Amino acid sequence: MRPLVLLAAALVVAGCSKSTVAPPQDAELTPVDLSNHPAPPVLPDPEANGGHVGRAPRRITVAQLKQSILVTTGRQWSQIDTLAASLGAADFALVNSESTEPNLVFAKFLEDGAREVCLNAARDDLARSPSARVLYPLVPDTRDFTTLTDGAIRGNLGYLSVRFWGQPMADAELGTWATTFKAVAAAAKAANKPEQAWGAMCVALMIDPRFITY
Amino acid sequence: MSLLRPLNRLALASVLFVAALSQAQVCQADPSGIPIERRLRQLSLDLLGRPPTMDEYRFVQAKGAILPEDVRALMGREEFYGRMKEYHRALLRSNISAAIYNNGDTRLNTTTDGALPLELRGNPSAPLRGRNSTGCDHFIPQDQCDAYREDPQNEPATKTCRDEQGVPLPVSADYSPDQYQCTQLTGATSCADAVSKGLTADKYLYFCDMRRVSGVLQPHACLPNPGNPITAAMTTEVLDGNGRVVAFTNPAPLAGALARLDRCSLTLVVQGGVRGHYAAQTGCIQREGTVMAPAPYWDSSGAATVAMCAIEAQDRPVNPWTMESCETARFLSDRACGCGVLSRRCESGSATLHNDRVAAINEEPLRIADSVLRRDEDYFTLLTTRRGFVNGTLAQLYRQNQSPTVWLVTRPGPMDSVPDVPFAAKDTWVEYTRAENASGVLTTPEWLYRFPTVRSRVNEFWDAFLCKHFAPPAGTTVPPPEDACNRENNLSKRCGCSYCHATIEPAGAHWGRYGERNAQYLDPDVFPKYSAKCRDCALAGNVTCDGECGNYVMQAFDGDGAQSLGLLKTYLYRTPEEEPNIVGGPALLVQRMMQTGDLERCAVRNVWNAFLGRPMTAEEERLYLEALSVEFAAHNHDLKDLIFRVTSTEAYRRID
Repeated sequence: MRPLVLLAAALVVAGCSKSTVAPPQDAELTPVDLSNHPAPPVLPDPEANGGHVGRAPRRITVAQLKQSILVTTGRQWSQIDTLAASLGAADFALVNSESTEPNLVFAKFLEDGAREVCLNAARDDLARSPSARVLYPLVPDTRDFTTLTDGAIRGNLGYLSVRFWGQPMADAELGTWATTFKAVAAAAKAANKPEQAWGAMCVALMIDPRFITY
Repeated sequence: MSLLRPLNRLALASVLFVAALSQAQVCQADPSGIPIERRLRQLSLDLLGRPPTMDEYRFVQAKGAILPEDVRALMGREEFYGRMKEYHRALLRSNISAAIYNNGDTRLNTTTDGALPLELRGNPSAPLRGRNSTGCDHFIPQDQCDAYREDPQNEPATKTCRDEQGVPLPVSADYSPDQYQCTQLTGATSCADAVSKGLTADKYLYFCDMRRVSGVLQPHACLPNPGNPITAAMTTEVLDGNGRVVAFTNPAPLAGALARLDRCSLTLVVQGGVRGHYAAQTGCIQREGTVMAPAPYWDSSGAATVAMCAIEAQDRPVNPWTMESCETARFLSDRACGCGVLSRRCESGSATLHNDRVAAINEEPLRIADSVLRRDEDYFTLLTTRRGFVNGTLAQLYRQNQSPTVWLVTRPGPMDSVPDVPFAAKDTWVEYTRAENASGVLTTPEWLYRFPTVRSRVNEFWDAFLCKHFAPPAGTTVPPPEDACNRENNLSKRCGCSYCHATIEPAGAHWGRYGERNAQYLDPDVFPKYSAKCRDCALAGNVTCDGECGNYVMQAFDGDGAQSLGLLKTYLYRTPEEEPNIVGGPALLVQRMMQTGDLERCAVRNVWNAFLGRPMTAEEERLYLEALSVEFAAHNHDLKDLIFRVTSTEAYRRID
C-alpha cells in the first residue's frame, strides 16, 4: 500500500507544482525535491481499525446540547438541568462517565424540549422584525406562511439546516422539506396558530440525528 | 479474509489515489472531504462546547477554509477554558458531595416561638438536654432565669443560672415523653391550681409539669409510661416526708435495666464524679435558656447579635473544668463548649452553606488546571504546583477552622498565606501559594476527599494520569485457602493480592502523610514518624491512647506490626527503600513517572478519548501515540498544542 501512497503523493506534487525543469533524457533520473510539500495524510488501515479510518459520529453531551439549544434557538429548555442525569450527564460523584448513547429516553425528552423551545421561539419571532428573527429571517414579513414562494421556503430551510446541523441541505432533501413545510403551514393557518409553521420545522430539525450528533 | 485483505487494501489505495488527485487539482481543499460548515461545527462543539453561531458560519464560508491559526484562535477563547474545566472535572471526578458525611448535627436551626433562638436540636440534644431533637427554653433568658418559674414545685427557692465557670445550667425541666405519659389537666392554670381543684392528687404534685399548649403554659400530670415495658414496671412510689411521690421504682428490676425515675429538677447529673461532665437526669428534659450572642459568620442580615440557646452561644476553646478540647466532635455533647466564636464550629440551618463548601472544594483543582492552561505552562505543573485558589467560602473555612467536625481539613499553608477573602465573596477566587508539601491537584481537599484512602488515590492516579489499571494477570490462580500465604497481613506479599498491591502499597506511601477519609496533612512536626507515647499506650493496651494516636500503629497482628508499634501507620511494612516515598509525597511520584514517559502517553490518550469520543485503537496507537507523545514533550507539555495536533489528525478530521 505504501508505494501507492507515495505514488499518490508524487501526483499531488505534480498537480501543485509548475516546474519548468527540462524533461529528463532517456535513462536519466532527475530527483524531485519534496521538501516543501506536506506529507500525505497518515491513515490507519481500516481493517486493523475496526472498519474505520476516522472517528465515528457521536452524540453530543448534555452540556453541548444545552449550548446547542441556546445558540440555535436563542432560548433555553427549562427542564434540561432537571433532566440532565436522565439525558446522560455524569455527576462524577456517583456516576463517573457521561453517557452519550442516543437512546429512547434521550429521544423522548429531547422531543419534549424541542416542542417547548421551538414553539416559544417561533412565537417570539412573530413579534420581531425579519432581520431579528431566529427561525425565519429570510422570509417576508407575514403571518400567513402559505403565501411564501418556493424559493423563500427553500432559502430559509437551507439557512436553518446550517444553523441547526452545520450542513446545508442537498437539493433533493430540500424539496422534501419544502413540501412538508407547505403542509404544516396550511395546518397552522387552519388552526390560526401561525407560530406552528416554522416552530414545527424547528422541532423536526432539532430531533433530527444531525442535530444531536457530530 | 486472506483473499479480501489485498482487495480492501487496493480499494483504500484507490481512494487515496483519487483523494490525492483531487488534492492535486484543488490544493486547498480539506482532504477529509467534510464540508467546511460541518468541520467548523465539530471543532466548535469540541473546543468551545457549543455549535457555531451563524456569523461564525458565514465568516468561515466567506474565508473558504479553516486554517491552523483559526483552530489556535478558538483555543484562546474564554469558552475553550470553560470546556477544559469540564474536561478536568471529568478527569479528576471532581465532586465530593458523596464523600462528606454531614448528618446536620452541627446545624443551628431557626425557631419560631419565644425569643426565636438559633439552636442545635439533633442528636446532640440527648447528652445536653436529655432527649434528641430538643431545643432550649425559648421563653426564659438564661441570665434572668430566677425571674421565670415554670414549675416552682420542682425548682429551688433561688435558681442558679450558671455554674462557677459560667457554664449555663437548666432554667426549666419537663418530663420526657420517652419515659412518661402526660395528660393535660384542663381547667387549671398551674400545678398548684390543679391540685386545689382536685384535678390531680397532691402526692403527685412533683410529677405535675407545666407545658406549653398553643404558646400558653398548661399543667400536665405525668406518670411512667404504661406503654413502655421498662417504665410500666415502675410501680413502686417513693414518698418524701410530706407524703408526696419523689420517685418511681421497679420492685424487681432486671440487671442493667432502668430501676428508678426521680422527679425532675433543675439539677444536672455529674458523670463519673467529674465536675464539668454534665448530663441530664434520666427521664427529664432539662432546658437552658436563651442569650443574645454575636451573629454567626454566615448571617447576612447585618444584625450584630442574634438570640441563641445559651449552650450553643458559648465560645470556649476547652471545657473550663476538665480542659478537654472543644475543637473535636465532643463539643457537641459538652455542655461547656458551644459553637465557638461567631458560631464557627456550627453551620447554618439550611444545607446552603454545606453545598457552597462542597462546590468551592470541587472547584479548586479545576482552577489550578485552568491556571496552568492559561499560562501555557507545562501541563504536568497541574500535578506539582503549590498554587492554590480560595474563594470567600473556602478562605474562611481554612482561616477560621470552621465546622471542624464536618470538615477535617488542614489549612493549606500558614495563616498569613491564605488570602482573607470575605466569607460572602463566593464568586471571588484568589490565587495563593500553598505550603511546601502541596503537589498540584493531588493534595487538594477535593482529591483527598474524593479518593478517601491512599489506595484509592493511587488507583485514581494510575487511571487518570497513567491510563493504567490494576488487575491481576490473565489466568492468575491463587493457592488454596489453607495456604499460609493467605494469612500474610502485608498485602504486597499476600498471594493473589500482591499482583496489584506490590505496586499500590509503595505508591500509596506517597500519600502517607495525608489522612484517610479526610483532607488533613500529618505534619511531621505534629505527627513524627515515631511516637513513644503512642507506643507506651499500645503496650499498656490503651489502643486509642485516649484518642491521640489514631494515625499510629497501635495493635500488632504479626511480627512486623509488633516492631512497628508507635510508628505512623504509613510506615508499617515499608522498606527503607520505600520510606522516601512518604517524605517526598505525591510530587516525588510525579517526578518519577515523568521519567517513564507514561504521563505523556496517557495525556495523549486522554485528549484523544475526549476529542474523538473513543479510545485509541491499536492501529491508531501505532500511527499516532508515540509521535504525539514526542511532540507533546518537545513542546513543553503544552496541552493546547497537543489538542491542536489531535484535532489536526486525519482520524479526527474524518467521520466514518
